[in-house]
Amino acid sequence: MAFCMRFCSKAVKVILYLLLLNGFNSYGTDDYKELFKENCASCHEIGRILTGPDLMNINSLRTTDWLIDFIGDSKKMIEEGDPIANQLYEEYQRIEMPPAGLSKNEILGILDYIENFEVVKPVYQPYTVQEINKTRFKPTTSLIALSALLLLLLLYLLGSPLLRKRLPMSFYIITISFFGLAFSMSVSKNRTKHLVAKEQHIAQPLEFSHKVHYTDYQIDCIYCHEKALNYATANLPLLSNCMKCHDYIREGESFEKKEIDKLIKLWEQEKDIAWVKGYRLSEHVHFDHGLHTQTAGLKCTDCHVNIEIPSITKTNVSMKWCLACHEKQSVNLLLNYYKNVYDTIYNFSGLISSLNGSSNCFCCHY
Amino acid sequence: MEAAIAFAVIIDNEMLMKKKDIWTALDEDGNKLIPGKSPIPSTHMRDHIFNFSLLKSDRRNFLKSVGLGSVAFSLATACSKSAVKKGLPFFPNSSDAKPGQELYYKTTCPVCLAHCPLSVKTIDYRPVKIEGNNEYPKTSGGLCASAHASLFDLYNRERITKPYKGPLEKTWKELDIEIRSKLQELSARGKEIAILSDHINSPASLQLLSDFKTEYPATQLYFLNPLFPDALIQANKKCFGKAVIPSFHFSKARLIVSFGADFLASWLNPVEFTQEYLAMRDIDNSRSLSYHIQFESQYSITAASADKRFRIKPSEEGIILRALYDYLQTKSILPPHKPIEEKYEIARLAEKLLEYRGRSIVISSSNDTAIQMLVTGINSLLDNYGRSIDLDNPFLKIPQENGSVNELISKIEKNQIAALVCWNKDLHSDYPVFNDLQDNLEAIELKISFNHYRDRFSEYADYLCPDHHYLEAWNNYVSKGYLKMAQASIKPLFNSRQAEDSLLRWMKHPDDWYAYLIKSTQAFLQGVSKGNEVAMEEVIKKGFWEIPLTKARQYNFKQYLDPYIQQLESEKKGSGVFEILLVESPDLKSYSSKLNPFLAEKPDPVSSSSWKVYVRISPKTAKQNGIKDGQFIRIRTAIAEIKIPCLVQAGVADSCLIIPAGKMAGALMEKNNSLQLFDRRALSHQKSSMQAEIDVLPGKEKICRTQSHHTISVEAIVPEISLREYLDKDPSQKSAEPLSSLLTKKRDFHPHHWGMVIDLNRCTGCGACSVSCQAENNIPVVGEEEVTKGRSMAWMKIQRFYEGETDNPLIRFLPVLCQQCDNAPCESVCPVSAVSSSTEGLNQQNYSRCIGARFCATNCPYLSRTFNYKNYTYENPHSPHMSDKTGRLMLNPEVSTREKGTAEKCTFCIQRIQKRKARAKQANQSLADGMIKTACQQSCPASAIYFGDMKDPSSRVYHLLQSKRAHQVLGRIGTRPSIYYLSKVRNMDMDI
Repeated sequence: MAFCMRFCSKAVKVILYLLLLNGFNSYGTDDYKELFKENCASCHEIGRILTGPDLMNINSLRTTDWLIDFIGDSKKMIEEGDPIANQLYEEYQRIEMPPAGLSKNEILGILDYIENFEVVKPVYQPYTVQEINKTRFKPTTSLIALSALLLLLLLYLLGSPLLRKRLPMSFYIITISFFGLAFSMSVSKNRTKHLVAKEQHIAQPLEFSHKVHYTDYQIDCIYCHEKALNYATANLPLLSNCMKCHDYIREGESFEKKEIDKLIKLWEQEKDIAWVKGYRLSEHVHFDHGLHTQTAGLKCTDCHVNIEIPSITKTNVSMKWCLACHEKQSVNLLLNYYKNVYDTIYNFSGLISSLNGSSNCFCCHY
Repeated sequence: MEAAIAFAVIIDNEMLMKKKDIWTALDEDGNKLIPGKSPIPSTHMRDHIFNFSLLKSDRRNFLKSVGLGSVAFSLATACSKSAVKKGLPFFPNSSDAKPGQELYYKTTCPVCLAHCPLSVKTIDYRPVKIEGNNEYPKTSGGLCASAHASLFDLYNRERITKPYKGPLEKTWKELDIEIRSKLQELSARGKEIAILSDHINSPASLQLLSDFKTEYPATQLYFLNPLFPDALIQANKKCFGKAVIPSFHFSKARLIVSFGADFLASWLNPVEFTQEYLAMRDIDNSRSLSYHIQFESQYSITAASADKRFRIKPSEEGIILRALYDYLQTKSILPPHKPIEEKYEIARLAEKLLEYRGRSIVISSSNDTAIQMLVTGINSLLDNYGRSIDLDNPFLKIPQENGSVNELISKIEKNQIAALVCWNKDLHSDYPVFNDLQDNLEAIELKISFNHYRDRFSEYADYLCPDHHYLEAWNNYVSKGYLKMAQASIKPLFNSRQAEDSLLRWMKHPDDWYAYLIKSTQAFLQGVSKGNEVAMEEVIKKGFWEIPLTKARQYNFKQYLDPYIQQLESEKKGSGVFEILLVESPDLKSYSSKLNPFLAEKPDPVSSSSWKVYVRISPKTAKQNGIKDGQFIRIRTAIAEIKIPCLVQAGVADSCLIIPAGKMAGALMEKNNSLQLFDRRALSHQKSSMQAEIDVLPGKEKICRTQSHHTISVEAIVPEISLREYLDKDPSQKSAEPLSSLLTKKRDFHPHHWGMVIDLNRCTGCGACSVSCQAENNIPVVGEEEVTKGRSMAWMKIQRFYEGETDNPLIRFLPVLCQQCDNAPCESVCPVSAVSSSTEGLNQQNYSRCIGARFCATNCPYLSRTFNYKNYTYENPHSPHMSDKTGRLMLNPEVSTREKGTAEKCTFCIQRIQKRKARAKQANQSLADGMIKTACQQSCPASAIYFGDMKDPSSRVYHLLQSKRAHQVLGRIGTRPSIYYLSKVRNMDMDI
């Protein structure tokens, strides 16, 4: 009992001590980095003028008290007539700095972070492309059949008369027709393979990374590809869309300033980026994005998987893969479109799309 | 029980066919050819597929059959490498720009005098298809073939792309300075400046020209149009003092008598006339039809729709009119006219005309003033003016200051012209008289050409200032009751400038053409709408604006017609001499004088010839003179001579030579190696026909026509009934289902069952649907060599059947397209299963799977399938719009292009169906009837085609299927086609 009591009290003391410790210690620099990012980074950069002034060496420029007051409530300071505050206000186009809503300690922590801020050079890590689908020579059925055919023909044409007489005509007819059929069937089986783009690395004019934009920063697909909601073709975004952010984000994590510099250069030259298409459908295939996103309610990532792998042709867009839905998906009979079509004639509780015409050739090929 | 009825119907049908004398062509000896019964020299693939024998044990044949078979199988499928494709972002030029969606601009067609309002479909900022404006009540969206084909001229790589001074390229600014100084100099010297153009119907342009005249007082406007109805205007001027072409209200006429006027295809305003004419022949809504009699020498498609046709020689026209006029005045037949009366039943016709006073129209397309005076006299006696013929709201008004081209020619001969501005006229091709004036023309000091293309005049012209194509240009037009606006649908492709803009620059006018046009139009509208504010934007958006009409007054003239009658009497011809008649062919009516491949390949509806100009002669004349089909003859007249091949056409008058004329005739005749072009000076006025002698030349060539192939069996005829029979017919007696289809399984269709109904009572056979389909579906033009072999690629064909004797047969048109059979014979024979049927009733052709075996084409009983024998889509000299980078802009991006080795056929415009369905689903609406219109349906000037869901009880198609006129073509063989045809009803007994 006494031991427990001593243990408990000791534990409590430890807990209290830890609390006090945490209470009085400054947070790690990482936490204040997050705070800076959340509250300040949208207008300020350490090393560059953005919407707000450059914060490099701000601690030596202004007194800490002034900074705490200003960050706390800059508007009050301007109204009270503080000369520096007013000068800044005029210089930066009369844009008010909104009150941060931070405690004094937090402000001190941020100032500390700014003081100790070092321009850390990230290690340049170029993306290594794995070789997918290494093509090795595989003797397929077609080659076997073709070679057999040629051998037989040679045999017939160049073989000695003795050999030819031994073998009856029907032998040639049967074997040649068999291998001929095998050859043509094998060729026709793989016929569409050449129409489907192989997965290969394609060099884009700019190393755009969906991983950074979509996965890390969680920018929605529709932010750039807005026509995918309503129209047949999902658009490639205009440069003006990129410049909404990249006007002041000039440095990335993988490639530093290299790629974004290319972007800025094109923007100044008023050109657009000529992307190499990753999804390549044949001419006779007509795909309607609007129908699939709005009416069918699919998410972009349902079809565009592997969006993070850059500069590579995307999912194997073959008909077999589309048929996974086009044959078995159920139809949304609540649409007004089906109001007069199905409710008087049929009384379906559930209708499979292939009965509704989704696996017709004419659904996509015309 | 059902089987018994069905059986009865079959027997009835067969006996019906046996009673009727239906044939499709004439062979060399003038005998009738009936496909299925007589051997036809067919070029159809059906007869060539088993040409070589597999059974011969020759090594050569063995290799042929085996080697070609397996290798061709794999090589026939073109390997399309997955090439690198680039993607650029879509740049919106406004907030409502839509990528891949269509945007319609309303404009007006300037190809002929009719000025039909258009609706131009643009995708991604470029025009892809031309349609008629649905909102315009007179045409209901219909459009003729020439307008559809004029899109080709926009993307033609042969267009002049920049301004030139002789051989040097210049900028517009430099040209303007030079030309302006030259014009001022010439004007100061008092020398004449001649502007030669087509008839200008635009108030803004006319105002501009009068302003130009104030600046340069020596300007004179001349107009050139060899096929202009000059005599009609002269007659009206002499009789009523109005130099106009009156409006003809066919919708108020119960009795129509036409002397050679092809008003449903080429005369004046064909699309509107078709609509009005058919309003009086609406058998579903009224119990009576109008009565239409045609007196003519050629066989036009108007005659094919007529209830009664008389074959006359051009010289007899005057005599008949005179007899008619005398009877109407005296109510009796005078002795000199007795033989004519017996032949043409003049008395009966005149009695009927008197019975329907004020509700008839008598017209003639002759360019002989005397004949037009007689026609005017007859109309006046019948009190037609003010009722069915309107002089107060005319179709066309002629400004008084225009000079005719003959005056210009005489002045050029005397070297009185100092400057010549040629405005969209190919001088040497349109009016060959200029060929003789070469030296005089070159002596003119200032020669400016506004033409789009390089021609003979451009070789020696001083300045080439290329004009915009009408789709890049702004303009306004006035015709009866409407002000029509034309706006640009695309930014100018090249460095051309609108001709009106050039004229403004040369006057140093402060406005540019757009501002000038808007000001002028606003002033016009203010004057016309009596002070009510009209928003210009609304007018441009709608494309036309209604102008209040003045009340039509009655006119009676008291002219002394005897001098004209005497003139006609003196021109009586003997019977041994040939008479030439130039007829305006609707297929040669193109926007420019250069060859337009769509119009060239479009077969003439009656003779089904294409690509060449042939002279038509009757079978009797051919036999008498020993002329065969395709034989060259030399025609000699007093003025010129010409060498031209012949075509034997049943129904043409004897001893007559019918030559089709039109803007494009020159370009086609050059291909023909016919050396001398016709001199139309003699034909443009005074005489309606000319005497000629012919020499039969030994050479003969194969006629380029689509008739002998792709001809389905005569059993395909949809029975035609007379009005009496139709009215007596019991409405409940529908044609029962044929026996064989009772044995085949009926299928279920969800969610729609697409079907089509074609009303043959309305179809005139013009062929606009065919050209519209070609433009919409990227169908290639194959060229004359391929057409001669039977390889024309049109998905929609107008079959023509004759009935009766060879002298004066009846003609029946049948538009044939893929019938989308529910039980299709083409599906079961495809070796790779490239043809299947969809759950919506359509027959699907999969281009990528097709290997080119053509079993489907041979098995189709309607012969509606076509095959790409060559790579027509690339490297095709006859269809440059597909092989050329600029020309490819014309292709419809919604439809794929087919390559060599694939079969294709009508798809019921599946791209339109899918697009409308997608839009309806996305907008959460239901599909209403009329939301989906196929290309053929939309462009038919007669509104004869209806497309819709046969399952939807509210659709037009469902309603029309119940009609007692509905038939299927070749239904008894059990294919269950999805297209129903409504029989034509003819007023065969003059029952009005």
